[in-house]
Amino acid sequence: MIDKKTYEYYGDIYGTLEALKNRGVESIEKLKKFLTDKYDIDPIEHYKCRIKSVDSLTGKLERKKLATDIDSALININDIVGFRVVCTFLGEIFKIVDEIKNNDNIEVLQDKDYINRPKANGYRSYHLILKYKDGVASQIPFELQLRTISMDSWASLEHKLKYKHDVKNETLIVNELKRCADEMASTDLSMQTIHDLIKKS
Amino acid sequence: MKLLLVEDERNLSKAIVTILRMNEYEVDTVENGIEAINIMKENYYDGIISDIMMPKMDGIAFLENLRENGDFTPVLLLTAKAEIDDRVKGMDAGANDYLPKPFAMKELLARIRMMLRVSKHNEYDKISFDNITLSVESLELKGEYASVILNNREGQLLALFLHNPGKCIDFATCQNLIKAENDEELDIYISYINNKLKAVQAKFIVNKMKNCYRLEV
Repeated sequence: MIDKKTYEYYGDIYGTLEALKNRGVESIEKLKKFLTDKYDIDPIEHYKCRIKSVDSLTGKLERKKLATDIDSALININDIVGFRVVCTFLGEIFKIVDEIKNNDNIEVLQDKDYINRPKANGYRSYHLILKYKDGVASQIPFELQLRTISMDSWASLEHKLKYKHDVKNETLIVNELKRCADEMASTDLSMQTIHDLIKKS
Repeated sequence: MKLLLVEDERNLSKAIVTILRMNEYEVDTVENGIEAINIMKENYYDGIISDIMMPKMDGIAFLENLRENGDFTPVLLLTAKAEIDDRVKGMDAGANDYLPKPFAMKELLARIRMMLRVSKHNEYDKISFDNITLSVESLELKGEYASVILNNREGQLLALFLHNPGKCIDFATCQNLIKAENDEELDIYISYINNKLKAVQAKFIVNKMKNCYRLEV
């Protein structure tokens, strides 16, 4: 059951978006099983999926100075349906990216590696805009974000602060958040090193 | 910079204080080892200049006491010219340098500068090699597109390699620097460093050779 606002805004396309969401979840589960069998370890700590809320979607369109109706959204916004996969180790992210790129059923529309090139504020994540080549909901693009547990916790905190407008010492806080991001990235690398060391022996 | 002068001879003390203040040092004075111990318990100084021959407690006893209490404030001892034993005792007791009397003021000033420079490491905060910079203070390892923060041991070890690129640095030296228990612990720290260098897109790594590690492009 969806609320009235969502139903009125999305209309019939909502069914397709739901179908896309379900298809994505299926793909993630399949990938999870495949990689667990291949590498003896489940690379995925947890994953989330969502269909963007009306407010979030119209807000984004407004910020981009675009029309805010559903047709405009379907043309202009790539992450109406979004998935966030959180991995235990850094290396797992790149394994998953490789699998996706080698998958004949999926087209990669956009590829942003914010892990090797973090954003200025310290944000790290791997973003992919994908589309199924055929079958259910194949005309609609969706976003896949891949992160480690550290990156996810940093992003959650940063997100909370982003929406407080009267933060004192903003520059100091921004700098300190970046420093934390860099420390956490360092820990991720150490964990991967230990992981590799165990695998080798 | 703030200095403590421990000297009982009043004329010499006045002269030294005048010169030091002219050279923009803040100076406090005490007249024997006991006063020096008491003032050091409560106050921070960047460096200490101390005579040896003083009543109540001499400079060497003061220094021994200071070091025993875990205070490593740099100390310059003023020694009598002929007394080699004093100099040796003083150095072994934990002095950073000595200057025999009589001395030229400009040498005193130069030795103070040297003592403070060595202890503060303020000559090099950022070490660069090729496209990478390491900040010794903040432990930030920075490349063109990304940066990470190292921990203390990684920072010290990498700084050693960045200061000595291409040089064969033996295992014992590396192990000693980070107080590693054994080869394996040293190895994993080198692995950490190499993975972090890779993450910031360094074009060099630390390679393991038969007897040493070497930073190579």
